[in-house]
Amino acid sequence: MAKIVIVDDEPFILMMIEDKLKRAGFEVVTVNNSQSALESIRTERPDLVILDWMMPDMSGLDICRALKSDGGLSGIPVVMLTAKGQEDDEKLGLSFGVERYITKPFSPKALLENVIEILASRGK
Amino acid sequence: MRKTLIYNFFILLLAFALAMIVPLYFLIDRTSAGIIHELGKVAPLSFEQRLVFTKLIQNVKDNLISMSFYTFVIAFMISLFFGRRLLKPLKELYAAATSIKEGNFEIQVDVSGESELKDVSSAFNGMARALKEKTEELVWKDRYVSMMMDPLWVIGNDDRIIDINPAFTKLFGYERDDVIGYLVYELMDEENEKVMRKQLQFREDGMTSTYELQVISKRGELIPVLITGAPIYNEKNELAGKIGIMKDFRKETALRRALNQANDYQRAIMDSMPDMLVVIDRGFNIQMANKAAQEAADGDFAGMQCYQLFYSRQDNCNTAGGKECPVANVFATGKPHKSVHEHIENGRQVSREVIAFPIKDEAGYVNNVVAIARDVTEKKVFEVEIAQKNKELITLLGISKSLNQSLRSEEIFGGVLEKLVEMTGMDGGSIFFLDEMGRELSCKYHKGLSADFMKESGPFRIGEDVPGRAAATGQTFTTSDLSNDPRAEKSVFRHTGIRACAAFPITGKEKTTGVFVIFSFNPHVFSLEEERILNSVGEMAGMALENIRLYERMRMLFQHQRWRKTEEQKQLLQVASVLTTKLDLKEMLNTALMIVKNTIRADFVWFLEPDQRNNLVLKSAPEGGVPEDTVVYDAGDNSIEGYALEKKEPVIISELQIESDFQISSHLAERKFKTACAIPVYSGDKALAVVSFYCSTFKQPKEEDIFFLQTIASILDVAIERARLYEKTILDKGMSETILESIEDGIITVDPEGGVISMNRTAGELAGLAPSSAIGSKCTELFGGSEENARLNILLLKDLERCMKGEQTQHNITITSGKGMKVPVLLNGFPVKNKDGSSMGVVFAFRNNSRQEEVNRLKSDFIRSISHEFRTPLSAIVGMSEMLLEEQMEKEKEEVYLSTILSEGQRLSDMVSDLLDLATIESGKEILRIKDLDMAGMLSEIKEEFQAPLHKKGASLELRINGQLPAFSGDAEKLKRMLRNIIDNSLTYSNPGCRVEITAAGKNSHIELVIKDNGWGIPPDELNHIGEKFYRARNASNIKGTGLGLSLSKEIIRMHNGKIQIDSKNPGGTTVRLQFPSRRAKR
Repeated sequence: MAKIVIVDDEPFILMMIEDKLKRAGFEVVTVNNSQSALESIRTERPDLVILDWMMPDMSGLDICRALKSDGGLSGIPVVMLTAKGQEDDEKLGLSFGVERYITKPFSPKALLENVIEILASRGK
Repeated sequence: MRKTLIYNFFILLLAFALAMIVPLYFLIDRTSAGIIHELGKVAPLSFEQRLVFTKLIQNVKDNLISMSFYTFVIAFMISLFFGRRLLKPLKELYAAATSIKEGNFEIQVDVSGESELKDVSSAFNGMARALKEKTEELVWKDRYVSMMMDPLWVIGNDDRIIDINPAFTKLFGYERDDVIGYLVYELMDEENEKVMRKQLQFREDGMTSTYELQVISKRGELIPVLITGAPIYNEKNELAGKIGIMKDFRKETALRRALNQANDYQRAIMDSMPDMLVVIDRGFNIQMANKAAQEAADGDFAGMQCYQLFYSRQDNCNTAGGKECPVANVFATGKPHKSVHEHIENGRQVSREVIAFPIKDEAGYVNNVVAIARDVTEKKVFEVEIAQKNKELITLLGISKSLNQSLRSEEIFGGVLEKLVEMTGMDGGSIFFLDEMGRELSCKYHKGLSADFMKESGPFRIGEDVPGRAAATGQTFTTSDLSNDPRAEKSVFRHTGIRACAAFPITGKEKTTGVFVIFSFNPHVFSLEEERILNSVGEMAGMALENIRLYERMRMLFQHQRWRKTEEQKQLLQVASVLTTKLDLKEMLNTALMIVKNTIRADFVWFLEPDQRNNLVLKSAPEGGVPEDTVVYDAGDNSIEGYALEKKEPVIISELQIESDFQISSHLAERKFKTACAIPVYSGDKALAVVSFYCSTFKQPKEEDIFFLQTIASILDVAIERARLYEKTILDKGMSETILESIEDGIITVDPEGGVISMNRTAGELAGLAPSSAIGSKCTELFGGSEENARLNILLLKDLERCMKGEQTQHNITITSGKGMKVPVLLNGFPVKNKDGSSMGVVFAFRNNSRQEEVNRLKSDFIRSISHEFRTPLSAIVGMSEMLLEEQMEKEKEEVYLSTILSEGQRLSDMVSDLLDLATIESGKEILRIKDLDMAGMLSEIKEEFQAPLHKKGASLELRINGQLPAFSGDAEKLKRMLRNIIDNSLTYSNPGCRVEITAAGKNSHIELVIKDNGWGIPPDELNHIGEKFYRARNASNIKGTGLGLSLSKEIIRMHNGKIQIDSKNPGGTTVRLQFPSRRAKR
């Protein structure tokens, strides 16, 4: 069963995504602050990470950059979840090697579909 | 050497001797044997005989040996003698050769003796002399070459450098080893290589030439040199190489570049002139012409003469005396000359002002003349008009002064006549008054003619001669030449030599009271304008005459009126002086009307002008309260003013309410005026304006009032014209200077080296320099003292280079202004091109972008933050609703979801109301709900509210109340919101575990609150912007926020008459200091 780590500072968003993914049968780990995000990802070794962009202390982009530069973790696909809705924001995000860029507000169903698609393309 | 020669001689001689003696010996031996044999044949020889014979031969043989010895000795002696003789000159030659070899060319070999050795010696001497000369020459050459100040190189036939001199090393830094053997082209770039190759080809062809070249020095500099190159031939007259002697041309090149540049600038300046500018030689041929002149000559001025270009004439205007020819004048006098030339061009009268300046050579001889031709047709018309109007005005003023200052008619008219004569440039004149019966004109005053003549000619009857004629017809009589005028055949004035003459009636109220005559002894054509003036003077004089009579009567009757009259006169003079000094039309009108109003004692005066559609437009109304340029009467309205204009005469309505035929403007209707008077202002037939006054009382305006107004109106007429002309001229002149100075962009013009040529006011302000002080310095030295400006200066250098290649540049950069402010600017660089398309300078335009950039950033920041702030709660609402609809949720979960949707919906709505609140407060519609407040209690409440977020962040909040706080009242809700915002900011823009301190204290009659944190702080350059709506500091861009909180807080503080001061260190934390005046709510 694929394992997914979700990082977001808004508890209700964590809850919502967790519910949706768990119902679809995924194993889910939620992280509600950016500082412990990297540590959790290292220990959990998930198959996919869902990241919020705008968080205090460390932005989702920073976490993504750290992931991509870590040999052991760089293969993990990242879905960026953000309220930054402008086109150049999306370009910036994709330039960091983000797999999908989903803007808030979002449909949990669409998010789930994206997750399944990414994992399927990687044979999981 | 010596021995060898002697031995050789000796051996030679010895060998010679032996060669002689040995055969002799054998010959004797053989011959003797033969003789014995022959003798034996003849007669057998006896033994004795044979013995004697043999003895004899033996004796001969023995003697031969001794002779051999003797020969031996002789040979030795001879060889010694000759050897010595030969050896001496040889020795000398040897010594001399050795000496020459050692470099001593002074030696001479003794050439005494007769042998061939003498020839050898003298040949040797010749050789030594030649050698000496050649060597000396070589030494000198060598010395000269190495002493030469000018660098040189010698180049072989393979284009490689063979030799250089020390000056070459000095100039270029290359030592001999650096260059000798190398291709000469290695010392230059491609362009110069081409020149060099061509020059070397010239040498191959045996030519000598001088050329310029840029050689790359060892230090990598391009050094310009002037080279004189010549071929070098060997003795066989074959080309052995090429020599080039150089002159350091750096200074000259710089000088020439400066000259060229000056020329280019001059050219550009010349071409930018709208006036024609040409250089003319002594044959009046155009040598050079600027763009304007070239255009006028249809591009080709070659072979054109100046008069063809300037005056469209084919013959030299100088042939007719040349007084007015400015060019000829300058050639003759060597001084600048200016003249105005009038001619017909394309059927149009054109006035061209030609200013000519000499171009002198060193000896002071004028070779050429620069002539600038400016079309002054329009200006001239203006000038003529202005001069005319001024003249008119002055005369009229003088006349009106005379008319009003004096009450003695002769004095008045004498003065008027003199002024008239002066104004028209006449030689004299006379005034005739009609007698009471209206039959005879008698002379009262005359000037320029003898009293006897006037006496004799006696009074003229009506209709008789020139004065009588004018009096009879009531019309002005003018003639350009009396002696040729059939109308004046019998005139007595013909005998006086009078040529031009004008007679005009003095008319009062429709009645002629006298005649003015002015004349000149030269012919003169009176212009319509002059006639008009003469007419009006006649009318004014007539009025004045009547006025005087009236006044005298009045004085008799009303003594007390005297005061008023003088006052009125004073006022009139005041108007006159106002009109002559003021050029501002509005001010002039206003002043004049005020005086009119006060003098007439009217309640209201205005000055109306008909516009193109004949609507009457208000131009001036002192204290009237009606705005200028208001249309007060439409074209069709039946107004008093319109009627006066139509009638061309003053209209007086003394009972306005009763005579209601006229429409009264809505601006005046309420004021219920009872009397109105309108005086039209005419210029010829053209209705210029109408002045009218209104009184609240019934009033019959006196005639002198009307006259006074008419006088003012006629003065106003010329004054208005004059003022308009001046306004136009001043406008034209100031336009171009004003444009550059008024441009909001900073403009700096630089030369190709980056030297500042000009700088406008804005650029000066930006750099913090006086524009004049910047001229001449480098453009990279104008801005300094910061990293931004260092970048700017690098950019300016690059742009300068690019622009000089003809490109245009543009950058968005930030610079530090002279006041130390960071200013974002759009920097544009444009090349200034001269005619051949190359750049001769660069214009840098600095557009201050700060406002635009800030507004843009704020706008997009706002959109971003607002959309972001809205997106997060919307995520809950949209996402969770979808979950609720699509999934089968447990009851408990369902509740959590629904309550989250509710609270996030609430958050969204809060945000919207925040925005709305701010908008309301800013629009000034928000009202405070003021109540007495317990500040300390309120602060504690807020502290409680923050417990949850504080805990989450691991932060601490400390509240300190120092002493008893003064009484305070305010809107509790708003104040709480403000404090929450500030504390929230402290917590948001800081690291976990931060500390916030709130201190409240009473200070005099104020409450002071200090909120201090140890958070991230605000970057110093952004501190000024904090609190501006939607402004968010750059280091906060990843944090959620609308940028509204502090703006809202600031507004709330302002509403409470409070003050806010924010100090911040980045990093180090922020201190917000709030001060509120202590107060009590009103009960």
